[in-house]
Amino acid sequence: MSSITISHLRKTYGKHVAVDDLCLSIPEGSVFGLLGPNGSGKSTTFKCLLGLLRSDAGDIRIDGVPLAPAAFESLAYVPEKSVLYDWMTVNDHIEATRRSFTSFDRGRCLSLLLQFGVDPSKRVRALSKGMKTATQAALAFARKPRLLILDEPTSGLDPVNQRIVLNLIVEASANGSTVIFSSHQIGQVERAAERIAILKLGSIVLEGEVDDLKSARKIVEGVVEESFALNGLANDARIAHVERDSRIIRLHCNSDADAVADELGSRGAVGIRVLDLGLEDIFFTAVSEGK
Amino acid sequence: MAYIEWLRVKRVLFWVGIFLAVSFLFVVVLRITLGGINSDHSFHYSHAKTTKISVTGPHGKTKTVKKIVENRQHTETRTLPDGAKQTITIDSDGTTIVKTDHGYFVGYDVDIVSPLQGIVSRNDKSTNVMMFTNSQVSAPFDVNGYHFNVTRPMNYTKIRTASGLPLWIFLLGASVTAMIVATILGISFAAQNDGHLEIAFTRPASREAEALRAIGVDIAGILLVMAIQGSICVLAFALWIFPHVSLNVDDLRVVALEIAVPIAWYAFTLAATASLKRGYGALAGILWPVSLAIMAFGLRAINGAPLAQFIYHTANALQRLIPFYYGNVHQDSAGAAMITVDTFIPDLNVRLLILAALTLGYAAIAIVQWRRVEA
Repeated sequence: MSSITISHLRKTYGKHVAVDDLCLSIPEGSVFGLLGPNGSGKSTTFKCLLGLLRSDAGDIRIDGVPLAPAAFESLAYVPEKSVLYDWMTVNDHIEATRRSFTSFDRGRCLSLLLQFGVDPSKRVRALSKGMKTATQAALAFARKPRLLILDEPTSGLDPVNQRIVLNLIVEASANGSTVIFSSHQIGQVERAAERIAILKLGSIVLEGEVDDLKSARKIVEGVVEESFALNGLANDARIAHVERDSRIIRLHCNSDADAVADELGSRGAVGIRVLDLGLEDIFFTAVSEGK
Repeated sequence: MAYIEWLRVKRVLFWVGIFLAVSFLFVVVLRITLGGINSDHSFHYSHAKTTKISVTGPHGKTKTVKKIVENRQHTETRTLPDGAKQTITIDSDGTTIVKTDHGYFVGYDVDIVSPLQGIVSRNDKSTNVMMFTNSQVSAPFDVNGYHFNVTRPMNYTKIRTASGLPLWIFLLGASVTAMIVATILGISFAAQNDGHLEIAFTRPASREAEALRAIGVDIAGILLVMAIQGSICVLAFALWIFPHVSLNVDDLRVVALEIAVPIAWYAFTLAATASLKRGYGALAGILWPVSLAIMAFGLRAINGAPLAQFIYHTANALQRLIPFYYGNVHQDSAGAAMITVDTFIPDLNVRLLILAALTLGYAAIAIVQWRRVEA
């Protein structure tokens, strides 16, 4: 099992700040989901974590020590885009991986490729985007690594293969591996991850256990008069975000939703309901705050 | 990464193999067309016949063997005790040609004695296939069992096809091919940068070790190309006549130079492209004409103008960094050995040392750059 600690990570590209003062602690054996819109710094964080990019500031430790080449024996990475060699066959990649990693299980890799429907004798250039992603995933999971870093591991996959990858993530976690992954498929993250962090413009805007985040955050919805004024509600610390659609008002609460519902009722709103939030709602609330 | 690099090398070897196979096939067709499928090395004899040699006739004209044979007045054929076939031809001027054929493995000798008139120019030379030697004789002598009854100064030309051919001759073409292969393999780091660093840099080995392994595989590939093409060259030669390959210390230094230049060129290309993610192929290609242009400008100043002098001095200094420069050797006038004509570094040993230093230096520069490339 592996734990990851990222402290005050900063990475810039010229004047553009990709990751800014990012701090994360990922306990060993957990499944950690990294969410964020495009350009929020997810891939940059992964690449800094792996030493593929040099950070401008900050400290990254795996199992309490800085990343060293030997750590890659038990660390697998599936990048967002295909990094496979187009001119090589899938079998060539299997052989190259087998020669590099003692823990690589060729039989398991072939079995996973069979599940994904990838023909190992084909050249990579003949594979679809999804098949390339599946091949990268099979090569990574066949190593049974202690730490898996997956950047959009279901990108381009059909729903059946997406389900296979999710099952592999859950299985790896059950076997003690630490998994950190990003995805735009929030439903998948909700299903697989125990903890998440939401990135926006290179900074974490929300982090925590998925269950805790969901239980704390609720929407108070009510019907109000056209002339209804928010008054102090807009600045209430318990309310993260307010949506108003004609006479329907939705208050996204960080905490104490029942008290907010009572207050809304006392201001004349009718048909008040307290709704549970899904991770997707939490994500949209988090990334739209301040917009 | 070494395995992936080996697969790249194998791909290059595949295409080199196809090129060599086609070239060899061409030589086979040429051999059959020119010599006939069952002929001996008659191609060489016909080559000798049409080559102008210094057989000066009574009228002071240079003859060819072919002309002498055409104007023959006497022809005689006999078999020597060792089985060699000897043909004696004498023309109207009294020029005598004795061709002694010892068979495929030994080759043949042609001895020509002609009346001497006027100034006979010395024309000793090697055509890399056979040895021509011209001299003057004034007393009777025997060659291959034939008695030349010389009573006055005569011109004597001898042609020997069985002379040993130095190995470097067979490796000349291989060295050029190796340079091309070195250019292709020299972009190996850049090819990793172009979207594959996630594979190269996430292996349980240091980047320096990965780089060194890749360099080792590439150099092995270059040597393999030279060995394959050199062997095919010997084989192609054997289609005409048995190749008597020789290798002495001087030849060995030239062979070492033929190997060292492509390897240094590989390191040079590697250093030039190691940090690039795009456009590395074009850069590797343009290194050839740019290097040759620098060497051309470094030869001599076009005129005495300050700009011309500046260009000359700059190019002259820069060319020392180009591995091509150290492969610039010429055969000496006697055809005996390869010598350098460069007065700056005339010694082949020094050149080899410089090439080794350049190779190590460029490889180090490439590794330092590559290990810092970001994905």
